[in-house]
Amino acid sequence: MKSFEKKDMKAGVLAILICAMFICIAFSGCTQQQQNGTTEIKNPTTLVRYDIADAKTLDPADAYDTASSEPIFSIYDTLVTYKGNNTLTFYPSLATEWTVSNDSLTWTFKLRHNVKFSNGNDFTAEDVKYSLDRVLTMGAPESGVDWILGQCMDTNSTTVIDDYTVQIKLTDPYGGFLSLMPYTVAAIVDKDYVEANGGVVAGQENVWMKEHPMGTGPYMLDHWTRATELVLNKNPNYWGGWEGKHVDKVVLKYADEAATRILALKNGDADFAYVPYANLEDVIGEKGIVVHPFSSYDVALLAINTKTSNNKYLANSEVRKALSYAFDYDTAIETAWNGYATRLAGAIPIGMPYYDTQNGGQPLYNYDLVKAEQILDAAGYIKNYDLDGTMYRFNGTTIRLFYNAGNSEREMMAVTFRAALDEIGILSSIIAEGWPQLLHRMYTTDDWDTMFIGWGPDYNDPDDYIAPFMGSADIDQDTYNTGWKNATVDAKILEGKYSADTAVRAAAYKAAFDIYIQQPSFIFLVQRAYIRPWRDWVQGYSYNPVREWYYYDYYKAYE
Amino acid sequence: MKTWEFIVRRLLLLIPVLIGVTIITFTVSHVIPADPARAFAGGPKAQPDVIERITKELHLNEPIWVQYFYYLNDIIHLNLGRSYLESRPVTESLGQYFPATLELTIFAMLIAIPLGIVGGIISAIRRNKLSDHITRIIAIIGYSLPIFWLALMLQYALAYQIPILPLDGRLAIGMNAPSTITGLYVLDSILTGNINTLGAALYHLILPAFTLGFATLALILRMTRSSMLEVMGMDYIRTGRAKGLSERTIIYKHALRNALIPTVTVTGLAFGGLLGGAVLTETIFNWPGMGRFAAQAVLGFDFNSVMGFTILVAIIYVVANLIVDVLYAVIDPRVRLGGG
Amino acid sequence: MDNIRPHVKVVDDFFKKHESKIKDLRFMVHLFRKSLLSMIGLILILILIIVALFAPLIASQHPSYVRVSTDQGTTVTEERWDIFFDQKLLPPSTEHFFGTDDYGRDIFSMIVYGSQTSFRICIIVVAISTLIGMILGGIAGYYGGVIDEILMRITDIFLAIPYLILAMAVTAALGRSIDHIMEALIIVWWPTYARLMRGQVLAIREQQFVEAARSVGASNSRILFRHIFPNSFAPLLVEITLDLGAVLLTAAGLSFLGLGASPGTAEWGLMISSGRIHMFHAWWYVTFPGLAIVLVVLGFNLLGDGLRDVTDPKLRR
Repeated sequence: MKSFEKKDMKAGVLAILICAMFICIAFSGCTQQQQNGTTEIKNPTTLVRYDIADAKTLDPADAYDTASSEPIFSIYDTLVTYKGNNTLTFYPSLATEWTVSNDSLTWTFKLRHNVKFSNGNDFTAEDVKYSLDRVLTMGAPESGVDWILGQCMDTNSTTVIDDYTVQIKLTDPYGGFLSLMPYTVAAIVDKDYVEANGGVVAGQENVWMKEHPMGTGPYMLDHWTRATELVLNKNPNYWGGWEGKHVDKVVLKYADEAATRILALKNGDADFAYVPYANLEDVIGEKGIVVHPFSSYDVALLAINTKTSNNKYLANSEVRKALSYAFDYDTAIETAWNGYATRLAGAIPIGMPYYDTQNGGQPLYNYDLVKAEQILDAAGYIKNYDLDGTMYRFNGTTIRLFYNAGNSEREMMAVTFRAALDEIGILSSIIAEGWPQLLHRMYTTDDWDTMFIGWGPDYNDPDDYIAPFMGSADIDQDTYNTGWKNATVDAKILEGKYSADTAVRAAAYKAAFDIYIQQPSFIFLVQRAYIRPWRDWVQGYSYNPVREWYYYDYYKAYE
Repeated sequence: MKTWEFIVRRLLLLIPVLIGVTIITFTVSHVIPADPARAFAGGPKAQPDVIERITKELHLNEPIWVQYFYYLNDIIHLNLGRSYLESRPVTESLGQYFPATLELTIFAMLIAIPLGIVGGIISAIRRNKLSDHITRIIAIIGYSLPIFWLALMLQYALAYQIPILPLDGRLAIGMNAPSTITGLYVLDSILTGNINTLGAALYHLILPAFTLGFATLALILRMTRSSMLEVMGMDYIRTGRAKGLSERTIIYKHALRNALIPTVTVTGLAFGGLLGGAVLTETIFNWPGMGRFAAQAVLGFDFNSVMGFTILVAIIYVVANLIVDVLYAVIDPRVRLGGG
Repeated sequence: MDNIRPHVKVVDDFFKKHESKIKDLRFMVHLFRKSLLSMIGLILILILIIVALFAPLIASQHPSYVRVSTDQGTTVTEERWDIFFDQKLLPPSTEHFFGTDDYGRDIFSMIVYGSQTSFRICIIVVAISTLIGMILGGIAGYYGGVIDEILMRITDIFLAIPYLILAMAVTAALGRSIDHIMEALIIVWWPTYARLMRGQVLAIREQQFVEAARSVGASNSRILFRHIFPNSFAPLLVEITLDLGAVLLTAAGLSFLGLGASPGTAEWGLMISSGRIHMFHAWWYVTFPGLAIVLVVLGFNLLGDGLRDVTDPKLRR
């Protein structure tokens, strides 16, 4: 055996040496990262954000998801914008002054001079007309976002008065028009650039613009490796200049694993991270990390299918009222949102104008199982169905609670709701499905009972919340196809929408709400807080519920 | 028959198999009533004319066998449909993520095959001694572990509690990838002389590759051990010993060569397991590969992506097994002459 | 036969007829008992069976089963656990051996009841796939010709797709439930048995006792069922035992991806998936269900290995 072992040993040693060499090279890559515990600012001119979703497109004319609008907001500019956490004041961006005619139909914008796109082209009124018309002509085939402009504009609305003046004549005197302008759909693109790269084709996306943005904003796209990172570099031509303190580079990363994002935040590799509500305790109290909830306009609702063709019990508004009493709102806030949410009184969230037209801002329905049962009994739906010894109502019909698979907050709310329904004698089942399937149910087959949905602000006007939920299909609303309809409510909504008078709008919305809430098609669940824990060396950060991230304002330093 | 005849015959057999695979994926993706047109058009706010246009494009209102022929036609023209999750063609997504999975799988095999074979040999030589028992127990535990659980445990222990390895990703945060030649970061780093990314890439490969390869390592170890034992008990080995050949010659020249034959077969079959395991491993380690994409597509009900992934994997697997069979035929002439 | 036992003619005849087989069996049992690892495997599986059978006695919390109607008009039984939000995510203690989960449920109890689910999945999937595989493979192997070629191509197709991925695709389409996982796994698994069975049949059908039966005039089906099937079973048994473990791993993987049990069910893979987000502050949520899977699969694998060792004629002498 001896000769065999000696030569083998030599070969074995050689193999080990080679492996060791590779391992050493590998670990050399590690020393740069593992500097736990120091408070030295990592990457002082780069901001790193670790979130949960990758952008889908960088074309503002066809982008309707948060992950996409975030980089778009930094690459492109709009006519007017918000600053800081102020949602009530409009600040000049590409427009420096604006006026509106007495009939609220015609808006005139004076534009900023000496603005260049990052490719050096000049910004003029032509670009404004081109950008807005483009949205309407293209028709946002991927996202449908063009409805935002389409509700009060068409391709004849925008006219170029001169190089730095543009006029927009609305098709209807929409009261909230100005609040549409800060949204990404109204971002200004470079006409010459787009024309050279595919132009505008009705009903079709522009593949080039999806991944090759060209804007006037503070940042430009450096590279976008899908599923890994999206990197923005500073735009040296930016009209706002680079005096003062700003980050030069922004890295947007995403990971499905909460553990990854949390560790990156703890290491200082990430400056912001999305930490799910359930995991906040992992970062609260950690040295160097700030956890601060902000009030957002993101809401969670339970949609109810009121069509008789689907379920005759849910078609009865008394049943829906009873369901409103059967939801344990406070427990849901504690468990699904870890306490970081508040009750919702109606469609309009706290912080938006006209919030208190909704029962004075107080939720009308509270968790009261006794009341729920009383209402059901009074309506004639008694517990007369025996299933294995337990008595149920509705002749044992099951109420199905749908939500899109993977959403853990909705899952928790569904589980909580089901337990309460069991107690008042209503049989229910929880069904998680994919979004395309849920859409099919909702819009094609009408085969759904209730569905947990969420809604976020497109722009800062209560009409963005009231109309989709309380308006009916007759006025092109009823976004979730619940089948709810009331002519008076419709009239009131339209009245509020097309008026600029605060008192008129408040009265209209109050009247609408008072009727609606007695026959609700939605259960208004919660308004959740916005939390993105960040490193304490980040300065200049503030949360704006309508326009969330404004990287130009942030910088990294200890102050 | 000659080797090339063998290969051609096997390649021809590929075609009905692949057609069968497309039938399966097509059937599977059309079982559930869903509304892909509306989903593609933007969901609740979708415009009716856009929905109509997409419905026409995807032939969603035609009878099912017509749809299948469009489907087959598309596949032949390398059109796997549009990914709902990523708003771009499935082929583009798969193309981008493929190198990441390839690199991970290669390194998993680089860990599994040498260690497995060496372990198997040592185990066989030192049969029934302590080292044999230990190796065998490790091996059998190795393929009793759920791969996602192993990944979570290793991640927790070695990237969190005692942080000596990275938690996720292929490179350090914010690090630019080496210039893309193949998409395999290690190879690209070597080719472009980028030591930084080479180190980072290898460093980030350690945990995921080990996790992915562990079960295969165990399998190869067992296979090598048992076939070595079988071979070493055979007559011609005893003859060799009687003739006075050194033990080393016997092991390497005779025993190993014959023992490796079943190991090669097992490796080919295990490759399929690696592709499946990649789905779970990539999800945990946030590895931007096909597997993670498929897992997300499954959860996001992005059927086009799931089916595209399945077809691609089937092709890869069949080709890999073909290579294995050819290797097998080259090593063992009996297979060739005996016919497929 | 000793003189002490009473002589019952039927029993005596039985023993005489199958004397050699019984001797083989006793030798196999003897070999099996000698192997420590095989015995460990047997013990692990016995523990699983006991836990699954006596779950209500072992666990401290118990689910209730509610029948709800599904979309298709059928009724399905759903497992419901009580929720105790004030006890969520407690570490292991004397009251909760394995801690509690994010709904406050006792993880130990859920693992115990989960054993029933796991057992059910394994047995049903393997039993039905074996049945289908045996029949199709047996027919193909015996009759040969065109039938054989067709079966080979069909199994080729199924075997061309790695098992997890095919199961993923099928379950994604059918919908998220344990029943659908089982259906998907059966679809994925039967080709393996068909192939195995076919190989066995090919080997056996040329043997002498089959020739003998045929010369006596026995019909084909009689030959298949009375002679070929029983004799092909032994290697299948090994495969079955090993597959029980593989099925469990795949089912757990599917549940982990979110394709299996509906939320709130006590299923090991699902628990690991739910526990993943809590790993940093509640490691027990992921660890213990995983250990359960490992031990059960290990048991099946050891058992299967042991069976293979004792039934393989080459390794015996």
